[in-house]
Amino acid sequence: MVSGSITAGQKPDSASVTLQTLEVTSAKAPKEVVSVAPTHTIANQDLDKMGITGISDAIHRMPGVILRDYGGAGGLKTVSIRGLGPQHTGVSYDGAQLGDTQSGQIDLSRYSLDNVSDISMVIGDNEDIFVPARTAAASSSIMISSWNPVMGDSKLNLTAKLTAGAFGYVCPYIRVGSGIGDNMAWLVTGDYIHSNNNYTFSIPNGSETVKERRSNSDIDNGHIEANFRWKPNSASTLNVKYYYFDSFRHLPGPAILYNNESHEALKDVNMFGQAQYRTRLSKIFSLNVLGKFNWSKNRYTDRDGKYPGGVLDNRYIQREAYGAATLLCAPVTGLSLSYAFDYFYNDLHSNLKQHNRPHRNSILQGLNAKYHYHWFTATARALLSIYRDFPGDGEKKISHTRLTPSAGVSFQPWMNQNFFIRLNYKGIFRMPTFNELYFDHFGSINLNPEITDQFNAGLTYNLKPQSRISNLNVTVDGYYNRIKNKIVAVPYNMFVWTMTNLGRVEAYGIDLALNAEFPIYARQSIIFNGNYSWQKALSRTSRDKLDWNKQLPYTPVHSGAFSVAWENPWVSIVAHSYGCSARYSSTNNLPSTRLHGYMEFGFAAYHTFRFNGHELQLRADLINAFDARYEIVARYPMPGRSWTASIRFTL
Amino acid sequence: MLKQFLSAAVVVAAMSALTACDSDNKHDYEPNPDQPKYSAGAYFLNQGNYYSGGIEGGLYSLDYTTGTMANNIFKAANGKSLGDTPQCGVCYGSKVYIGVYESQCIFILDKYTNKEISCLRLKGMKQGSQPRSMVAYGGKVYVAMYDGYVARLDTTTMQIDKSVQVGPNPEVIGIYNNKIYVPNSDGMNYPTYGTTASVIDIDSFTVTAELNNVPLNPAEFQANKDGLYLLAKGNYQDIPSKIYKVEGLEFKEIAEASIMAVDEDKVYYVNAPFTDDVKVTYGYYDIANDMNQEWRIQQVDYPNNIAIDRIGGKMFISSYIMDGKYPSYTAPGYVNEYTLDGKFVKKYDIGVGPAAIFFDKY
Repeated sequence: MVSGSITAGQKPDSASVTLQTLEVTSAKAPKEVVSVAPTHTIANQDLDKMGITGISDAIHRMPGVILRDYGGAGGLKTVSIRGLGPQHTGVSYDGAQLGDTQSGQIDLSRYSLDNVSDISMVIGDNEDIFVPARTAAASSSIMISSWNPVMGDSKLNLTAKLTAGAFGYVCPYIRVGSGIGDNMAWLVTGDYIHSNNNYTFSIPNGSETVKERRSNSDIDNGHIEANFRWKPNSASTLNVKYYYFDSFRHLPGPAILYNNESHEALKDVNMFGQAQYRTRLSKIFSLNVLGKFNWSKNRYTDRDGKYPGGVLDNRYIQREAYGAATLLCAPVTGLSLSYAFDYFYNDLHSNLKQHNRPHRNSILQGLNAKYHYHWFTATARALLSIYRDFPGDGEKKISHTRLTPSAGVSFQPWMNQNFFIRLNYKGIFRMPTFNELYFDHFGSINLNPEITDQFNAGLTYNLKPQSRISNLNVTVDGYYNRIKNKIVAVPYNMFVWTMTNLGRVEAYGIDLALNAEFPIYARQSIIFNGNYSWQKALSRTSRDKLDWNKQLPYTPVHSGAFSVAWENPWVSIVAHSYGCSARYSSTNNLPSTRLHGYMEFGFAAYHTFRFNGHELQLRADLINAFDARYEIVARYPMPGRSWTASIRFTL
Repeated sequence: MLKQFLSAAVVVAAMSALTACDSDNKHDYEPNPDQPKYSAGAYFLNQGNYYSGGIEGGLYSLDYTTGTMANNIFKAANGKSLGDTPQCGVCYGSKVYIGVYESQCIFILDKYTNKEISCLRLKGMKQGSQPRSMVAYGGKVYVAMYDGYVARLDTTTMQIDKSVQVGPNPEVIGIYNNKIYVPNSDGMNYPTYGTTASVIDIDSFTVTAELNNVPLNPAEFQANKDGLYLLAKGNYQDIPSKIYKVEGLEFKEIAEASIMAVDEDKVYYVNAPFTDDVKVTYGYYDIANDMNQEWRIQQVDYPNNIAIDRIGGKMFISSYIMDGKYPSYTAPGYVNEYTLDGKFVKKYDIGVGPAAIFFDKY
């Protein structure tokens, strides 16, 4: 069994400290299948095989996920899982949860796939209990892991890649590192993205279709990471990371009829430093300690005569200090317990007249247990969350304290079959964001947290390798979710709104995932990956509301993706597709706000040359090959057919 | 909105000494848009909701003779959308003028066929590009631009021939005593709102005065033959929205109200205060007796606009529909027709975001 102690931020070698105590080898099935909660991982080496072209494309290949995408390389991309909304999706990077207390949502567009060693999604809590308490503080999590330094080889490792594509897209990427002695290593990565994003789009206008081109849409992103790893002894590892991201993009705004001009711009700078120390204290105890400081700035400008001085200039700075310690205890075979203590401090400064300088202290404590016995795995978690806000203007403090549970079980009815039945529940909440609480007029200081309940029942199956099928995994999960105290905006008038806890949502659905590999001839195989989701996410606020029992905006009932790859020694080829049914942009599902369903197809071809121990990979992609025209967010048209080509060299 | 046209028309109608009443032969009549005698119908402009779901706006028209409402007449006649956030309009002479705020353009239509004659693209124009309100008088259409201008559109050449700079974010302009009164809301300087108004002399088309002690957040000027009234919206918090009578440089408080329609002898108003539990009140100000009265009229769900067509003998109140305890800005609204003495006649469904109401007077 795959160890439950591997967190998304850890490569197996660092987790191996605890593997000895936890490893239970009853079945060699992948984590997707044995986990007590829906868990999906895409590793870097799968990216080619699935024809994945970007982080948003990777997200589409996981069931139950709705991506909100404003289009193009510079468009905001957020993830909503099973009808709960993007603010309930936690995103962690190398083991530490990313926080945005201002808006509560993380823009995935800034994470380049080249630097991702794997990306995974967990819905609810799975059996990873050797993690910070904050990792369990969201309903679901997307976990991104970057590359780790490799020890034991003082030779320079170098990977360089250049990608070019339609709409002026160019992205050089470099990763270089080496071992120092036999217990230290370093790794530096850097990438730069430029794109004009000036793609054509068409929007219906009465009986006509207007063809236009996105303008004021260019983006420049630079990104550097430096990593250092030290293993002072066989039981301990220290990882240190510095991260710097700098982005400037013009924003095309929504497509407006008869007016294709925008003067909006967004500048983002984000840096953080983080250190993580993991050690085995004794046969029974292991300890993980994490420290992080994050600083991010963004500046939004819009030039328009209607603003005072002809320009709107909003600047925000967010800071976070984060510390976490987790103690793992494995007293007897099969049982492990952990206690996690996290503290984080967040603040927000802005140049807005009506903004104060709110800050928040958060203390989370988690008590976790996991038990495994041959055919049975059970997990239980209690999370005590204490949040204290200081609005910054001498007003009253806001505090919320809650104890929330989660539990999961997985049975294997027949020991000779990798067939599992799983059940799990998670109750959690999200704190209102600083915007929701403190933004003048709009915010409301009386808000309560949004509470979610998630119930999941699933069947999973892994076929043991056979001659015709070398690998087959199937997971089917049904779920029922609900949100109470959902924070919704209610109008004072058309232009002045305020936030209340009025909303209620119920969501239910089925998620299906299947992957299989079929060897054909020597060194050739067909690899299939597919997922499908059926999802009803309904507003249940009150019967006299126009949106009563209506599907949430931007939430398709049907969505799914598949990819088929033919891997061979010559040129490997992948065909893939993503599609979803119609959605509405309005809460009351007004017919004129219907966004039609769509299906897009893509093709990838790649080949890796190997010579003198070096590798050279060429890859070409045709994206949206049949030029489907669609919007994910109303008035934000997505690109039609496009291409990318890349060359990657590994020393 | 567009009651400013109404007010201009009311002034003129009054000045023409009630000649409209003796119904002389229409065939001998040479129409004068500044002194109309007849009214053939009403226009209802819907803003749509571009901000929430990209809902386009539309134009509806009510034919008084047949009593029928024609839906989306611009789209029906031209096969395309009126654009995003149609904000203001007038019917003047043989044409209809529609200012579209987000699309930053002015459509000029033939009022008989509803066909587009011209579309003035304003984007990037130095002298104002965001139409917010309109009045028509003396062969010109005056357009307040939210980026701080009032532009003069010549109805013969169908071009903007001059533009004057006013204060920030002008809202609904009105004509009184041959002057255009411009409320400078300074709404984009939120949460600090404006307290100024600009006064434009129509003949010279220059700003001749700046009023500096205007009630907070001025939003709309309307006039009748002997008075000018201002609606100032306050700060949506502790300072309520109110109607004031403009007396020289003084502003005399009339009533708390969020929308108004100035008639010959009354100022009708509705107050839908910006508070959690919405209590909408209807009233009117009796000008001669200087007192407020309860307005007994069949009420609507959540009023958006009042318009009075004295020549046509009709009143209209447009409304949002309710979504639970709040009005819905994404669902289609409606308009109620009344007689001049307030008797309910008929309800018509119109599109999302009912906004300007104006009349086909000639």
